[in-house]
Amino acid sequence: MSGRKEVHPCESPLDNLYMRKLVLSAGQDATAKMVIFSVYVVNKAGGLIYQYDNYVPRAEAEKTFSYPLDLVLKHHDEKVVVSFGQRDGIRVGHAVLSINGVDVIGKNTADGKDILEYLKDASNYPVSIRFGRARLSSNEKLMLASMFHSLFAIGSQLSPEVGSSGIEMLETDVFKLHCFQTLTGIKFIVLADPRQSGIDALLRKIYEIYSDFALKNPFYSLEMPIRCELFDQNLKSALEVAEKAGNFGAGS
Amino acid sequence: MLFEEKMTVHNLYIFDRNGNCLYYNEWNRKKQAGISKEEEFKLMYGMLFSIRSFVSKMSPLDMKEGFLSFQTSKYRLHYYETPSGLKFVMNTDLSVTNARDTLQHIYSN
Repeated sequence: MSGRKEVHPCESPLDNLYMRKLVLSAGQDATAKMVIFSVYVVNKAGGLIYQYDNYVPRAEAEKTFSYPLDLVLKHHDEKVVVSFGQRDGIRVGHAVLSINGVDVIGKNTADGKDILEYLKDASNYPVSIRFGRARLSSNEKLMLASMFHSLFAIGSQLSPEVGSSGIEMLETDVFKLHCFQTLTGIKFIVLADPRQSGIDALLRKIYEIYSDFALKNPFYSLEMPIRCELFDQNLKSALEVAEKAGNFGAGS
Repeated sequence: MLFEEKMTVHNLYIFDRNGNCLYYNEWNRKKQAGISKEEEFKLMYGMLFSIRSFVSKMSPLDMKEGFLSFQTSKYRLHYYETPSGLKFVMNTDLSVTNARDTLQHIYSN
């Protein structure tokens, strides 16, 4: 099973080598691409004042189904999610994103019909449904940011060592969350690929950009949502620089 | 040449799937939480439950293992959950990067 190499019909053995090299480097690029997923800024009170999604990879699967549907769906948080019947890229927890190519609106189809009722009716089949991870709504992001604000504090309280800060880095198998709290209580939170390096420098850089383009903006009020164009622009370019720098770091 | 790494383990909690603390031991704890042990167990379990829920919502991709660990300026918390809902929580110093195997070892032996 292992050690089977695909033989490309080539003119000469040298061509074969060149082609293998190409494939190798393309593969390396694909795996070396590391991204910064998103940036959150939370104020002293735990309220979200800025949020930016840099890269949102969507694992989606669209399939055509015939009656009866072998997946079990249920209502959850104003969405229709898969409760049972995980298969073929459709995981438990994935939400119904679109039916027959038309995006759904919450629990209803674009026409306003209840999705579960629609899918119980055999006359609507065959139907093409797209499943995937549901995008976070603004409200959900607000709640999650406040939740993290509290978890940050509890991490400090439960510390077995004296003088501990709150949660500075949280690791999962799919992403790493980095948090930098300033002396004034503002938290800069960055979600990135686990292999991405240089996030500490990025967090300091975002603090610098916040000072330069939000705080120095005469129309910006402290602790309020940040709506400064220059802040957005500079943040985006800082993220680009960090992604490139991070890539170089991992490759060497 | 073998380097001996000094690592400090502060404490270990084991919770069942309902949140009851089945086991707790501390070896090197310099600061208590300031609340009773019962309250501390509830707070620890609650924090972990919230972190898991937070992580599953925030995650940009589908996760397999989920939440693994977090670190602050002074300590690192390692987390391991079995399929039966048993939760192993270990606080160490910052030099320990991966205690998952250790926790798995504690579970299976």
